[in-house]
Amino acid sequence: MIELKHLRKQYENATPLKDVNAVINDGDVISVIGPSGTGKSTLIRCINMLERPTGGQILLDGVDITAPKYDLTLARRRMGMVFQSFNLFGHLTVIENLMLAPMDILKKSKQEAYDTGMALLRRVGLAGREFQYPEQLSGGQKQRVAIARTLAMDPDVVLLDEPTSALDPTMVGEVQAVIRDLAQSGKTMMIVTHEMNFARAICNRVFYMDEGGIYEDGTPEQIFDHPKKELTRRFIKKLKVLELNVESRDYDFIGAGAEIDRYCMQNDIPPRTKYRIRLAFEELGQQMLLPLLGRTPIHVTLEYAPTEEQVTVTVAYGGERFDPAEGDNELSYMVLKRAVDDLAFSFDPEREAGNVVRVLIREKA
Amino acid sequence: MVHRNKRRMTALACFLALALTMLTGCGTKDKEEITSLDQLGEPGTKIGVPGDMLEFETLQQDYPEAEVLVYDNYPLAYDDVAKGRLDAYVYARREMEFAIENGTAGVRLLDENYSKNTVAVGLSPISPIPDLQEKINTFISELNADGTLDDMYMRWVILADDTMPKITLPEHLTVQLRVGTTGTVMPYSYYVGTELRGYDIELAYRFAAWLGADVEFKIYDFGGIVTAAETGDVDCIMSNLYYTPEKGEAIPFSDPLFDVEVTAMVRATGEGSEASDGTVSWQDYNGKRLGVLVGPLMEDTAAEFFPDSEYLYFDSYPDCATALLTGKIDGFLGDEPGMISMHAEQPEIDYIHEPLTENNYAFAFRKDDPESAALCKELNEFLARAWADGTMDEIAEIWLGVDEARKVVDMSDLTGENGTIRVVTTSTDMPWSYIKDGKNVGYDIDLVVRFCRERGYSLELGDVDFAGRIPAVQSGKYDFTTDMNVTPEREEQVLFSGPTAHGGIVLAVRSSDLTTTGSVVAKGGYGSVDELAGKRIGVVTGTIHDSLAAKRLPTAQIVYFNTTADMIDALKAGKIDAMARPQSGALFISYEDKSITWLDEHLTDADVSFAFPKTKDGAALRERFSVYIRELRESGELETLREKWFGEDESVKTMLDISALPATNGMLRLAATGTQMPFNYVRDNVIVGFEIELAARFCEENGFALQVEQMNFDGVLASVQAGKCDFACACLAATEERKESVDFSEPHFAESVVFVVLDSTAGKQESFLDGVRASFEKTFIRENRWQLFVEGIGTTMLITVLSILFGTALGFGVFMLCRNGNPVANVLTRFCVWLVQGMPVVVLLMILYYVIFGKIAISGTAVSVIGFTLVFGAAVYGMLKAGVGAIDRGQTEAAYALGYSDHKAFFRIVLPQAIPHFLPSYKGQITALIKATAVVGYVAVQDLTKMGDIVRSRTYEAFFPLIAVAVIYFVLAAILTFLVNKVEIRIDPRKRSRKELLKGVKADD
Amino acid sequence: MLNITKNTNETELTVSLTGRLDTTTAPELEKELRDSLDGVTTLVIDMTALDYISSAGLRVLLSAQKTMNKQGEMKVVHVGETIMEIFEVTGFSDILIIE
Repeated sequence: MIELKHLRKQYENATPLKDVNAVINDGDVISVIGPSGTGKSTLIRCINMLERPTGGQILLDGVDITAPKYDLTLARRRMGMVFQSFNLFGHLTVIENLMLAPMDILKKSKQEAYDTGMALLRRVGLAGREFQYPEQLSGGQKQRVAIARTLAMDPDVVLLDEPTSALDPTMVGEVQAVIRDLAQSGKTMMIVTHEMNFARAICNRVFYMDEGGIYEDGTPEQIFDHPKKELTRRFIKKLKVLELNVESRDYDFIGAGAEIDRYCMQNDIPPRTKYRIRLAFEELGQQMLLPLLGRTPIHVTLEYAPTEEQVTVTVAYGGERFDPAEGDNELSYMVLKRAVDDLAFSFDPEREAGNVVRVLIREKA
Repeated sequence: MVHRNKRRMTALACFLALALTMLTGCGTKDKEEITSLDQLGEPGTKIGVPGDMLEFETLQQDYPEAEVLVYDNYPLAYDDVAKGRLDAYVYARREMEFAIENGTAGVRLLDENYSKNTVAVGLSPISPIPDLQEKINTFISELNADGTLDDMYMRWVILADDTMPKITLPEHLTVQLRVGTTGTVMPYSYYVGTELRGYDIELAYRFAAWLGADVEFKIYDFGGIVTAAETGDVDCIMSNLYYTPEKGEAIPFSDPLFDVEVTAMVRATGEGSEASDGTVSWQDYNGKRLGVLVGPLMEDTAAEFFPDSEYLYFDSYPDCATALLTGKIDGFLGDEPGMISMHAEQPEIDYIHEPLTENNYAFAFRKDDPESAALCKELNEFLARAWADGTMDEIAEIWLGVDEARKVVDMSDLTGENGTIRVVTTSTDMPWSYIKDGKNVGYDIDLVVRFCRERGYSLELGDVDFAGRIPAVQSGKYDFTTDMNVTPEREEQVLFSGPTAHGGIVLAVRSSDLTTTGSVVAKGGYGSVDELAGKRIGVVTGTIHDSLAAKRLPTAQIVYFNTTADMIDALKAGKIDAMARPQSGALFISYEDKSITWLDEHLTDADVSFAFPKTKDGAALRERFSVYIRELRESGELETLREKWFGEDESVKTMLDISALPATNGMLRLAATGTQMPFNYVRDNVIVGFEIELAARFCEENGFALQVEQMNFDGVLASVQAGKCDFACACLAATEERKESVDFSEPHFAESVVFVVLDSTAGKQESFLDGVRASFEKTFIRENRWQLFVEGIGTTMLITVLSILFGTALGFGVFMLCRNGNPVANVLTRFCVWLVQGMPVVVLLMILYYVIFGKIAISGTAVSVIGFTLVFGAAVYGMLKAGVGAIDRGQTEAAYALGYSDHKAFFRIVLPQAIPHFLPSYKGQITALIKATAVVGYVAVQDLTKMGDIVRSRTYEAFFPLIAVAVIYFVLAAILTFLVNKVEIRIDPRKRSRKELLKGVKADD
Repeated sequence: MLNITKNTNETELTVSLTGRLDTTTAPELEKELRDSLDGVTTLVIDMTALDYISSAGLRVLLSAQKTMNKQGEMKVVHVGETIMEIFEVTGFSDILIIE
C-alpha cells in the first residue's frame, strides 16, 4: 500500500504538485488523467522517486521512502515502470533485456532468468524474437518487451507513464491488450493515460489531476459520467471554455469581441453561431446589464462541447435578483431570445454573483 | 763612401701643384714621375728617411728645397710612397728590394744609388785585447771567404729567420770579449724574451769562439754606444753600426761587414696597381657610416665635419678598427699618432692625411685641488725640459716607429722614495697606452715612467674605459690621466698639464679605399653583403642572428628555423638566399659540403662563453671555470685545442672519456645542444667537441663527474636559469639580453657571424642513386647511427604508451568524479581542462619542466609523461563527457526503475553503450599523441625527432633522416591503432554469437 | 468596425454601412445621421456590407425613421438574411421600409 502525504514538487518556474494526498491500496488499478502540465507524470515519477519530491512523504507499506538515507533500490525493486519512450537497452538482445536485471539485482541464475524471460516473452506474444535487438522491433513490440522486462522483476506495483502515447494508432491495440491482461492479474497499477475509454475499461479508480493535486478521485462511473467538480466536468466533456469578466464600464468590449472570434475559430464554430454568441453577449452583457448599477463584475463563460456541438453561455452577476426577462430593455431581450434556444435564469442569494442566466445558443438556421 | 755633390735646380711646371699642395695640406696632386735622384731636389718634394742614418743630414744638404721627413716605420714609408704622400723614401736597397719582392706594391727603386753605407764593427782603441783590429779583420775575411757572412746576411736580413745557431765556445776561455750592442735593432741585435738574438749577436759569438774568448754583452743605446767603445767599457761594438767619418775619428773600425746601398724608392705608375689620385679626401666620407669614440670631443668633431653621416659609437680604437675591417663602418675618427701606429700594426687600415683638427694632447689633473696643482706644476717642469732636450722626440720616435724592440717601458727602477702617484689610462689606446707582453707600455706610459724615475715616485696604473677617465680623476682615486685631447670644454672640468704630444684628428679608412685595388671576389653571386638587401635570410631561433641580420639588412626578409640542418636544407633548396651563421659553423659546413661558402663581412664578433646560473654556487663555479680558461689561454693550450677541433681531420679530435670521470667532489650537469660542430656535437653516439673537452678537462682537474644533457638551443639557457644544469655551452655569445638571465664565464672563443651562401662555382651533383646511397650510409650506417634511431623509438613509445595509460585512467577518474554534478569537482575540472588545452603542448611541457618542477631533479622523460598524461587525460575526459552525454537519459531511468543503483546503472547500462561512440575519437587522440611527442626535445628528452635532428646536424642532409623519422612515426601510429581496433572488436556487443549469449543456459525451442 | 459612406443625389442621401452596427458603433451612425439629415427628403440605408446588427443598431434606425417620417422617407436596402431575421423577430420589418 502506498500512501502519499502532502506531496509537493516544486520547480523554478512551476509547481506541478502542490499538496497531494492519496492512498493507493493493493490491487488498485488507477488511471491518472487530466490536462497537460497538471503533474500526472510528475506524480507517478515521484512514486518511484525518479523525481524527488520537494516536500511531503511517500510511504511504501509504512516505510518512508522519501527519507534521505533510505536506499531507493529497495523500493524500486518492488516497483516497475513502463515509459512512454520504452527505454529498452539497445546494446542487448531482447532476451538479455529481460535477463539482465533479474541476474544483476535479484541474483537469479542465468537459467532461471532465461526461463522467466522466455515465459514472459510468450506471454506478451513475442516468442521467437528473443535474439533480436530492440532497433529491429516496431514501437508496439518494443513496448511489449518493456512491459515484459518490468514483469521479469516481479514487482508489486507497476507504474505506466503514458504507455501508448508514442505509438502509432495501429499499434496501440496490441499494447493495450497486454496492459489489460496485466490489470486482470491483480497487480497494483497506476497508468497515466489519455485513452479515457481504455482507462474506463480497466481501472477501478480514476485520479483527475488539476490545480496542483488530485482534483477529483472516484470510480470510473463517477468521474466519467458524473463528474462532480467543474474542472473535471470540463475535462471529461472536453469542454472548450472561454471566460470573460466584465469588471466595469470601461471593459474592452472590442477586445472581448476579438477573443470570442478567436475562440470560435479555434473550435471551428460556424459563423452563424458566432453571430449569435456575440449577440447574446452584447445584448445581455452590454445592453441589459451594464447600464444597471452594481452588477459588475459580470462573469461570462462560454462553453463549447465538441461532442455535442453546443455552445452554452453563462452570465453571472451580483446584486439583487434581476431577471432580464423582467427588465425594461425589451428590444434587447427580443433580440437575445432570437439568438438562443434555451434561456434559464436562476438566483442564489448565497452566492456572490447570485444571478445566473444560462443560454443555449441556437444551432438551427 | 760616395755621395752626390751635384745639385740641380729645375724650372717648376708644378707651380700649381705646389699651390695645391699647400691648399690640401698633406695631399699631393699628380706629379711627374720621379726617374732620377735629381728630381728629389724639386721644391716641395717630400723625402722620407730613417732617423738614424747619416743620409738624414746629407739629404737636407743635397736638397735644401725638399722636405726631409723621418720615417722609421718602413712599411708605413713604403705605403706612403705608393700613395703619393711621400715622393721618395731613401733607405737600404736590399731591404726595399726584399719588401717589393714580398708584395709591396705601387713602388719601385731608382737605379742609381744615392749613397753607400758601410756596416762594420766598431772597436775600442784601448781594448785590452791585443791586436784587436787585426784579429777582427782576419776573422772577417775568413768568414767572407767561406760564405758565412753572406749566409748570415741571408738568414737574418733577407729571410728574417731568427734562429740563433748554436756556437760552442771553447773549454778554456782565456779572454773576455765585451761586446757593446743596443738590443734594439732588428734583425741585427734584439731581444726575444730575455735572449739576445741577431746578426751581430751571432757574429759576436763566432768571434768569441774564434778568439777563444768568453762573451759578455753590454747594452747601450745608439747615443752612447760609441762613447762606450771610446772609453774602453767595451771591446767592440756589434750593432749594425754604420761607419761615418765622425765616428771614425772617435774609434777605429773593422773592415766592412757588408755594404748598404742606399737608394730612393719612388712611386711606380702604370705598373700594376694605380696609385691614389689624392682625390680621396675626408669630405668624400660625409654621409657614410662613421665610427666615433664615445665622448664630446670625437662626437663634436663628427658632427662638425660629417653632419650627414650615420654614427656608430665605440669605446676604443680596436673596436673601431674591427668595425672598419668587417665593413660595419666606412671610416672612423682618431688622433693622428694613434692612427700612425695603427697603420703600422694593421696596414689594411690607413688614414687620410689631412687633419681635421689640430690638437694638443696633455695629461688631465683634478681641478681646484692644491695638491693636484702642485703635481701638475712638477710635471710641467719636467715636460718643458723634455721638449727642449729631445726626450719627447725620442719618445715619439720609439712609440710611433715600427721598431718593436724599442717599445719597452721598464718600471722596475722606480724607487718611490718621494711617494706613489696613481695614474689612470685606457690600455687599449695605441700608441699611448697598451698592453704588450703582459706589461703596460706606450708613449704616455713611457713619459710618465720617466717622470717618476726622475722625481723619485713609484707608479700605480689604473685602467678605465675612455669615458670613465675624467670621472676617475675627479673622484680622487687617481692623480691624473693621460692622453687627453685639450678642448675648451674639458678645460672647464680638469686642469691640463702642458702639451705631452701634438697631433690632430684624422679620418681613418681602409687602405684599399685609398687605392683603387682589384676585383672583389664574388661569392655565390654576391659580391658583398649589400647585395643581399631584400633577400631571404635564414636564422636559427633563439640566436641573436636575427637582430644582427635585420640591422645590417633592414629590407631583408628574416626566416626562422629550429635547427641549423633545417636551415641548410632550405639554403640548398633555394628557399632562402643566405643564412647567418657563426663563422666556425660555416667552416664546418664547408668541410662537409663544398657548395657552401660565406661572405667576408662580419656581422658581429662576439665572445663565446659558458653560461652559469645567477646563484651563489653558480658564481663560484663560474669563477673557477674562468680562472681555468684564463690559464689555458695564457699557456697557449686553449689555442692548441681550438686548432685541433677546428681542423678538417676528424681523427685527431679525441678527448677524454666523460663517463670515466669520478665524482670525487660531486657531479656537474652540462646543458648542450649536441648539434653545433665543432663546439658540441654527437659522434659515435657520444657527445664531443671543443666546449665539451673544455668542460671535461675542467671537471677532471677539479674532481667532478660530468653529465651532459642535450636539448634544443632554446632549452639550454632556460635550463641554466632554472638551475637544472650547472652550466651550459652552446657556442653562446654573451649578449646583454642573455646576461639578464645567466652569467657568462671568461670567453673561450671569439666568434664572428657571417652570411653563408651557396657557392655558385661548386661542382656538379652526383647521380641521384649515388646520392641516395650516400645519404643512406651517412644517416644510418656511419657511426652506427641506426642505434640512435632505435633509442629514439624506444623513448617515443615509452612516453606515448605511459601517457595513454595514465591519461585514460586520469580522464576516466575525473569524469566519474564530475558525473554526479559535484560543483567543486566540475568547476575545478573545467578550469584545468581549459588550462591544459589552452596552450600548445610544448609550452605546457616547458612550464612543467622549467617552472613547476624547476627545482626538482626530475628527468625530462618523466615530465613528458606527466605533461602528456594531462593532455591525454583532458581529451579522454572530453570524449567521455560527449560519449556518455550522447546516451539518452531514459536508459538511466529505466535502469533506476529496475532497481539499479546509480553506480551499477552507469557501468552496466550506460557505459557499454557509450564506448562505441567514444572509440573512434580515442583512436584519433592516440595517433595525435604519438605525433605530439615530437616536441619533447625541448625538455631534454632524446626522442625519435631529436635523434633525427642529431643525425642531421652531422650529415647536413634532409632526405633520409626526415623521411626515415616520418616513416617510423607512421608505422608506430599504425601499430597502436591496430591494437585499439582489436580491442574495439572484442568489446562490441553486436559481434557476439548466439553461442556466447547462451553460454550456460539450456535453451528451449 | 463600422464604415459609413455617404452619397448625396440632390435631396437623396444614401448611407452605405460596412461592418458591424453594435453598441459600440451605433453612436457613430447616430451622430452622422443627425448631422446630415437637414434638407434630405429621401434617406437610403444600404446594408450590403453590414455583417452584424444588434438592438443598439435597431434603435438608431428607429430614430432615423422617425426623423425622416417628418421630412420625407427612409428605406433600408440590401438586407442580409441574418439581419432580416432580427428585423422580423423584433417586428422592425413592419416599421422600416425594407427593399
